[in-house]
Amino acid sequence: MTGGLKVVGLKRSVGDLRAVDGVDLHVPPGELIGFLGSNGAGKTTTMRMILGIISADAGTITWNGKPIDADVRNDIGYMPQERGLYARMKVHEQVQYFGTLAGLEKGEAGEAADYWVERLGLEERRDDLVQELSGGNQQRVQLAVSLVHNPELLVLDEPFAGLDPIAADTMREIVRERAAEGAGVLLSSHQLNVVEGMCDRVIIVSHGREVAAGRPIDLRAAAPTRHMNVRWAEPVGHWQPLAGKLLEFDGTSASVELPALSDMSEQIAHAVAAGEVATLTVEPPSLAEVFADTVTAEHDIGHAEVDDSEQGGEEE
Amino acid sequence: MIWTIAKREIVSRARTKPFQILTFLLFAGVVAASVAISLLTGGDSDEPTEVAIGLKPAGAEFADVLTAPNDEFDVTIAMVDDDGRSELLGGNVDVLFDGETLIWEGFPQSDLDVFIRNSVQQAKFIERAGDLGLGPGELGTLFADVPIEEERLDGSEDQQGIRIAAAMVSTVATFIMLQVWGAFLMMGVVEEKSSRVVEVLLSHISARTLLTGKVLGLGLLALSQLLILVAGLAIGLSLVRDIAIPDGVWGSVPLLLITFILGYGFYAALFAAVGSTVSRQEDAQTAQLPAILPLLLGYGIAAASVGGSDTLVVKIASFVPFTSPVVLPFRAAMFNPPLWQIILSLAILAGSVPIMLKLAGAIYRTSLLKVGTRIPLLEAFRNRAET
Repeated sequence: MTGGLKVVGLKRSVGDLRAVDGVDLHVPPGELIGFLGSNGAGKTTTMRMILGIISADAGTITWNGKPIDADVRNDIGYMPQERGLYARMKVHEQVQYFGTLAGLEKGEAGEAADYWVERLGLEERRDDLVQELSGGNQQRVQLAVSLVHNPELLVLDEPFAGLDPIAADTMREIVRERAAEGAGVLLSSHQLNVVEGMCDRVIIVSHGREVAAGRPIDLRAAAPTRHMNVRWAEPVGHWQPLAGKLLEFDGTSASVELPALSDMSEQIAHAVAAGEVATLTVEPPSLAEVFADTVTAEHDIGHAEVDDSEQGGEEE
Repeated sequence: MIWTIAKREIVSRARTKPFQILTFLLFAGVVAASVAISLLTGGDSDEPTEVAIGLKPAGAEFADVLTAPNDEFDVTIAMVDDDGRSELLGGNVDVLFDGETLIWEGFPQSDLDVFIRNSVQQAKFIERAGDLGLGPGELGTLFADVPIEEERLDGSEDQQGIRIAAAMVSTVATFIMLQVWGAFLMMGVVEEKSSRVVEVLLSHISARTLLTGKVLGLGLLALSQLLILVAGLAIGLSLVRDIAIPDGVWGSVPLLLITFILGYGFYAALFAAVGSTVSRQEDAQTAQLPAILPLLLGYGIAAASVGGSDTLVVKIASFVPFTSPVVLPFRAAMFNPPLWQIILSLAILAGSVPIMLKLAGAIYRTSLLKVGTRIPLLEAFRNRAET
């Protein structure tokens, strides 16, 4: 477990604020790691330290066991939260340029740019200026820029922000594909529901600290509650669950929050006894729900005081 | 890597309309200005100018003296009646003379005015001398030339007019070029910062590499533009006629280029640092003041000393790196200072460029990722160790 990206005890203060306060991360090759938390939780600052854009106050960042230097950084593809492209540069030319900055020969970079421009459906726009493109297409160019040098590690800061569903699908597909080919992927999001299905593991941070980490399915299973949704074939009149809280009931369907018991059969049997059941599900809460309290509380703070993208001081 | 960045700067800047228009305008301006300079300073070697003088009957006696062969004017005399205004207003004659009054259509042509007055004076003078019993022989003896030689300790031979022109052209060219290219560089820095592309750039390369590449790329482009201007100057001067260009003028071209290269290095760093403290192009105008003011000061000192003497202020300003890029070429062309002073001044400037690059680089690195309101330069400087 020493391969890939390893971050231990990372810290960074901004003024009086501890933006990152002891974050540990491990991104093995071929795995997709979700870095989750509300705005201002310290995700962007952590990613910038990984990329060497800003320095850490404490902690270590290693790649395959070695400290990250300029060479290693050329193995990383970075997509910043605030997209950044030269507005008055042509699409293909721009992708190629960033390829050469990442250490490719001009010819190689040109071929790689050809591939990604085509792959991302930008073929017809290849000689247009970036500023002439729609927002969605600019995002595609941004993705191409982060992939052009065939990086072994992808660091994607809020890659799904502002994408329409089709573009988001393309993004998901390409990110999964890169992981399948052996690249490690670290992607951040403040929308837990968007990424929980695609990540092998997630790390959830709040106020610069890790609050939970693990496989999404395990984190959800560890929650103290379960959701049961029942729909009967006929109206059942009055009904109450054996345990937990009845959240919704309209005569033919019910939504119940149950305690997480090891055996749910009794609860299910109680619902079946009320009448013929059309559908019935028992599920752990989603990641978003598991951490709803933390996220909601922080989300408000995030907007009022610290926002990764807008507040100058926070970033340094 | 530096070269990759430099090349992008050159290509993307050279493609823009403002650059192409500016280069063309500067080129055309230099050609026109040098034509004008040679016209103004090279008049002596020209053919005599053709003029027509209308003499009223009362002034007829001066016809001979006015038509006497001379270097300046090829005079045609038209005898007119007592009014003669129609001749003047019709443009047939340049001036009317009745022996006492010169009548112009409007503002007098100063050369012709002086010529007529002198000629008349001379005629009267000979007449009066005759009255006093002095013949042409005695007059000749009386006014024989007393030759007075001139010697200059600095060995220069040129006229002051040429010196002033060369000094002003050097100063104005350096002043404009430094300001324009400093602004170009700053705009590029602000563009990268405001579009956030700088974050992607910094994930691959260091701030120092980025800054060096940008300064180098734009510097090469600026230098080629300056060479185009020098070519324009040469073309303009050769277009008109052969005037004696003193050695000092062409000698100041290499100095101009060296000063510009060093001055550009110094000011480019300053402009880049200033540019990195703002996030929007709108803020750039006010932010660039700390870079513009010393340039303006240097220009002011130079402009105030045209035709004057090599004062202490000029001397000091030609050594201080903030003003020397503008003042040194001026002082060299205008006052011909000792060579060691020029070399010392260049050495000070050259020595301060790396210091400036280091300081500015630190500010640049610290400020690039701080988005939002403008960061005061001093605060940016104090924060420089943070990143």
